[in-house]
Amino acid sequence: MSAVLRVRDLTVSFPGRGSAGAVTAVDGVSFDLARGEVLGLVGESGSGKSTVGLAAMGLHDAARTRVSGSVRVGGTEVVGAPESEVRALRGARIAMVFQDALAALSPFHGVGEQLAEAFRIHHAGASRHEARDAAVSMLERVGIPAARARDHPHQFSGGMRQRVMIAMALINAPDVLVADEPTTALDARVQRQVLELLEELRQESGTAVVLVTHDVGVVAGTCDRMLVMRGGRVVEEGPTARLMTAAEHPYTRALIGATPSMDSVPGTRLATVDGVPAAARWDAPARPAGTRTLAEVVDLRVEFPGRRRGVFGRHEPVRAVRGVSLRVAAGETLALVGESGSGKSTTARVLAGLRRPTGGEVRFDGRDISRAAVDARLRREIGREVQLVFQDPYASLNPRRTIEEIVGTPLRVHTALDAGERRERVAGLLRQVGLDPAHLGRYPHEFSGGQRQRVGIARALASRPRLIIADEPVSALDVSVQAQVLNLLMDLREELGLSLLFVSHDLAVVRHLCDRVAVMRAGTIVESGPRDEVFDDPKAPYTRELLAAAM
Amino acid sequence: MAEDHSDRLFGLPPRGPFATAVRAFRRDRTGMAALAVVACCVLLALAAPLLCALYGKDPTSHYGQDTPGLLSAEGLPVLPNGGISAEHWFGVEPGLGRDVLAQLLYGMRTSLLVATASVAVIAVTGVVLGVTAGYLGGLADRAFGFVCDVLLAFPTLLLLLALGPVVRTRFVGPGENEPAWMQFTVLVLVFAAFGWVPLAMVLRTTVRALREREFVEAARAAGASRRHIVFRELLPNVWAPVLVHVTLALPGVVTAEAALSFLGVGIDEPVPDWGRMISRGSEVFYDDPTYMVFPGVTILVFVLAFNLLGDAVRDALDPRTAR
Repeated sequence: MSAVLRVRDLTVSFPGRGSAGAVTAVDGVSFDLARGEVLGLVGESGSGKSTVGLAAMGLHDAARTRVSGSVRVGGTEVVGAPESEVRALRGARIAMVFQDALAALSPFHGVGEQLAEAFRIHHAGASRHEARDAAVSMLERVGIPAARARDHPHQFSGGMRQRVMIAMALINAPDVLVADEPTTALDARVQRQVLELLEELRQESGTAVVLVTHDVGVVAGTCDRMLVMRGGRVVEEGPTARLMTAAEHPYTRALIGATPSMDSVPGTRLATVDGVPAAARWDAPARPAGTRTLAEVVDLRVEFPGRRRGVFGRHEPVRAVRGVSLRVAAGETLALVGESGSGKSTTARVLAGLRRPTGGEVRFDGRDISRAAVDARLRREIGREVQLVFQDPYASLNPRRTIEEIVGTPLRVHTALDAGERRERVAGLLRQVGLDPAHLGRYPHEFSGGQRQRVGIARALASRPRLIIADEPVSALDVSVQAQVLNLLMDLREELGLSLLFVSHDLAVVRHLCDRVAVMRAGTIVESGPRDEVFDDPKAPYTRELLAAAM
Repeated sequence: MAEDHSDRLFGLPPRGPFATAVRAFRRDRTGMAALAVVACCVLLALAAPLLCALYGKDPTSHYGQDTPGLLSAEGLPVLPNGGISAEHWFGVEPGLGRDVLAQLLYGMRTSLLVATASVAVIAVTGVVLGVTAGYLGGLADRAFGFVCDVLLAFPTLLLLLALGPVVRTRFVGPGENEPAWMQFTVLVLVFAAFGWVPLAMVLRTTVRALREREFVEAARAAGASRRHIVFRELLPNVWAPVLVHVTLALPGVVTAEAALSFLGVGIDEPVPDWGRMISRGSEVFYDDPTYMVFPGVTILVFVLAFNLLGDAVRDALDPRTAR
């Protein structure tokens, strides 16, 4: 079988400005893609995987990038070809699906119209009518009813939008589809549906797919072959099944071992790319079962006021949390699981005293804290006992303040330490989370994502809290960094006897870390119980559905 | 525990956002040239009395009337090109016969004084109102928005034209001369009263976006007070837009001041002023075009340099060009 996409010695570099040196994003990458094959291009951020995808489309700006080597799409050379030739190729022979469908679709046109436009570009003779028919039938193929062809992108859910993107990419029946993190922004169940759709369409039309992703789990489920990239180079290449079980390169093994899967032993240390090899796992320490209740909510209800309508009226309030009851025992780790919009973050914020509940009780250590969001004094007292670790380590650190100031803020608020003593405590905290205390005077932008999350954890530990609420603390991080941060959280939990409320959508991570699990959907708890009970014998159909999607 | 991959950065000394911006600015040649011109203007204005003493002229003496042979009977300079000579480098003023160079130097003082004072008031008012409205939100924010809309709807220039005489008749007795400080104060207050609106609106939007950021929530979670959040978390993040706005507002005030003086409601005689020089220049343009050229070109260079400086500051602070 001849290759529909043949990449040879592809090198892409971005010449630096002024004194800064050139950055080589992709360095001598070669691979072939056969008809109907699915190739997984796996790597962490900065590994050059997306750059390969863009180069295959000939989408690099010639003024700012140097591309050398060869990329042939069905026999036509892309590298160095004039724009007009590449344009004829794009869409017709090779098409792309981006991660963020909302950004990739035009907000002012109906989706049917956008599809018809994509069709007409490569079918110059087609009438408007034909183009519309082609668009509607393509939409139906990806499971969007013809009646919705006039709807605009914002009227669709994330998964539906991604379907529209796929329809648009496939409308001209290309030989190759480059899908760049097509499901990263989606919830697990929707992710599964989209991947299944891709698979179905591939079997129907024989389109070969390059799946660019950081998620080893996605690759394992969908790809025939995988290509592991690191620092712009190919680390290892081979059939997915072989790489998943018997990879030769230690990086591949670490990358696979770094993601907690549904079969890994809960509570064990995860392999990190530069640290402990996967073989050095040790048994998980027995977790003490907590009995004394530290924090709880009873029949919690939270409503957001509806949007203003006219001068006096308001729309119906949005009921984010509808009667949730939870308790976190001292020393225990409770996971709050749910898809986006299920109300799990809102519940966590109420427990942290940052949001006032509409109804119900919130207690910490037996004390009513439901007024903490409006009562500055109570807020301060709760701030000492309950701390938050946020999802996005870029947004949660003030870019204009040094690490010392950021980590020292809780100390400044809650202790009478002078500047020198604070500095010493901050240095100690940085050591505790595995950062060099010499970095005290640096600003957040000088750190990588994983280091920033460590800073966030150090800040949360500063006031010596008893409960830490971690809101998706690793979902914005690369796989290997994710493993480091999870290991750190597990270590600190043992060391300090912390209680942890772990909010997450990632079931594998939850299973690895938590003692008890509560599953939320649409503002209510559908199931809760000890970890093994929920994972091995789920009662609620929704939990079963979630688990099925995560397998 | 293994470290992440950014150790190459730590060979360098710590770089704050400010240091990064300064480095970016120093790479910008246009910006550096503009800064040089602006610095030169400020120096000339500060040193005007000293320079005039060295030059041997002052801006108020009527050399043309006192020294025969400089002005003709019609009040026009006798020598060509507006009376440029070794004695009067930029010529003499038609009519009163004052020295043009001395007037330009002192006029720069007038412009810079009004502009910097106005911009200082604008910056303080804008920051206080904008950050407060943005942080408080709700009713305060809606009231703020309404006031801004009202102020933006004012026909500013007409109001200035109308307000000048009113202030004069209200506070200055008939037959008295309005003291110079009062003219300055009125101008500064009027510019500030309308000038703070755009800055405050920008800051309000910035702060509204910032307060939704997680680091503000993190500070709240740590139990920090409102004061701490506004002064330590929010304010350090707004100085960039403030700096950009200030450097771009300054040339605006300079031209507005010149325009008002041109129309006769700005700074009065005998305080030297560029706008009035241009106004006089337009009266005698056909007979003595040179008199228009000097203040015109000076304002052009002055304002252009400030605008280019403002652009360079904005580019240097733009997070998309650095970091």
